[in-house]
Amino acid sequence: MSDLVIRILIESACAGFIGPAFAMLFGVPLTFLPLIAAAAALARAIRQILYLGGFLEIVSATFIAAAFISALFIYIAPKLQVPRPVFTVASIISLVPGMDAYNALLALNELINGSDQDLLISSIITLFHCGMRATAILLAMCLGIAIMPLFFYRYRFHHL
Amino acid sequence: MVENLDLKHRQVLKRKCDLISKLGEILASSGAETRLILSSMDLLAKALNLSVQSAVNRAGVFVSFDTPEGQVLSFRRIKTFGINMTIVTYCHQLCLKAERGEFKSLDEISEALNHLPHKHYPKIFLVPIEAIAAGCFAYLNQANLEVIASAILGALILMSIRFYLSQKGFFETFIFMVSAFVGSFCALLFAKAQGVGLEGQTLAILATSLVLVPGFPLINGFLDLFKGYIDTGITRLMQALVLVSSAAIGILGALLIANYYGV
Repeated sequence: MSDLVIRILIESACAGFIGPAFAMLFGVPLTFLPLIAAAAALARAIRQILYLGGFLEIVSATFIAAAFISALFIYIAPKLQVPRPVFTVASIISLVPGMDAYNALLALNELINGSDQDLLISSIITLFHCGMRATAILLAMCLGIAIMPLFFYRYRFHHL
Repeated sequence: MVENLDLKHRQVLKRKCDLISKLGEILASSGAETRLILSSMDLLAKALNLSVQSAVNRAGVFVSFDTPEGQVLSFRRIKTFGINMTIVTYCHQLCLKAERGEFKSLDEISEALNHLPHKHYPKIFLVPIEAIAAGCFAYLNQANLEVIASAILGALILMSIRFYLSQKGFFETFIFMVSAFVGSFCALLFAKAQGVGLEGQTLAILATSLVLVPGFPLINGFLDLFKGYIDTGITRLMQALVLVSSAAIGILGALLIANYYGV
C-alpha cells in the first residue's frame, strides 16, 4: 500500500475517534456513537482522497465531504427516528481548520504588537491567507450540512 | 353544570397549551434547531387535536390558539441554551409516539415530559476521551509523538478545568477563556519541557484548544439561517463567535504570559 493510502487510513481512524468524543460531550446516546465514528471516518477519508489525491482544492473537498455526510443522514436519521444534527455535527468536527485559524490568530497578535515593517507585511499576508482559508473551510462545512436538506424537504404547509 | 363543563374544558385546553410550550422550551434548552422545535410543537399539537400558532426566539417559546371565549396563550422563558442530544432525541421520539396515538391521556405525555433522561457521560470518563481526541487532532495536523503527548496532557487539564468551572456555575464564556488559557499554557510547558521546536509548540496549543470548538451553535446557526429563521440563526452564530473569541483570548493570554516570563 502506498504511503498516501496508509496516511488516509490512519487519519480516518483518528477522525473516527474524534467524532464520538465530541458527540459524548454533547450527550449523544451511546447507541449512536458507532454510527458517528463510521461517518466521521468517512468524512475525513472523502476529504483527504479528494484533496491529497489532487482532484480538488481543500475548500471544495470539504464541502463535498460535508454534503455527503448530510445526504447520508437525510436517508438514515428518519429510519432511526432521530433528528439529523445528532449525527451530522459530530461527524464533520474533524474537518475543522484548526491550523489555519490558529495561524491567523498568531498573525493578528503579531500585527498588534509587532514593529518590524517586513514582519508586519508578512503578518498581514498570513492573517488574510490563513483567515480566509479557515473561514472558507468552515463555511464549506456548514453549507455542506445546511444546503443538502433544502433539496429534500419543503415547507410543511404548501397552501401558504 | 354547564359552567363547570366549560371550566373543565378550558382547563384541559390550557393544559394542552402548556404541554406544547413546555416541549418547545425543553427542545430549545437542549440545543435543537428552530425548525425541529417548531415542527415538534406542531406535531404534538396535531396529536392533541389542536391547531396552534407557535414561535421561538432567544427569550422564550410562545404558543397560542383561539377559542370561542378568547385566546389561550402560553409563554415559557428559555433560561439557558444548553446542548443535550439525548433529550432532543427523546423529545423527537415522544412527538412521533404522540402522533401515532401511543399516549392514552394528557397525564402520560406530562409524565414523559417531566421524566426526561438527563443522561450525561461521567466526567471522569469524558476527560481522558477528550484528551485523546486532542491527541488525534494533533496527529491530523502532522504532529510527532512528543507534540501528541503534550496535546493530550494539555487537554486533560483543559477539560478538567472546564468541567470544574461548569459545575461551579460560571458563565460559559468565562469557562472557555480560563480553560483555554490554562490548557494551552500547560501544553506549551509540556512541549518545551520535551524540547519540541516552535512549530511543534504551536501544534500542541492548537490541538489542545480544538476540543473547545462550538460545533453545535455554529452548525445549528447555519441550519436556522438557511431555513429562514434569521433571528435565531444570527443569535446562535453570535453565540459561537463569542465562544471562539473567548477561547482565542485565553490562548493569546497564555502566549503573552509565556513570552513575558520567557517560558
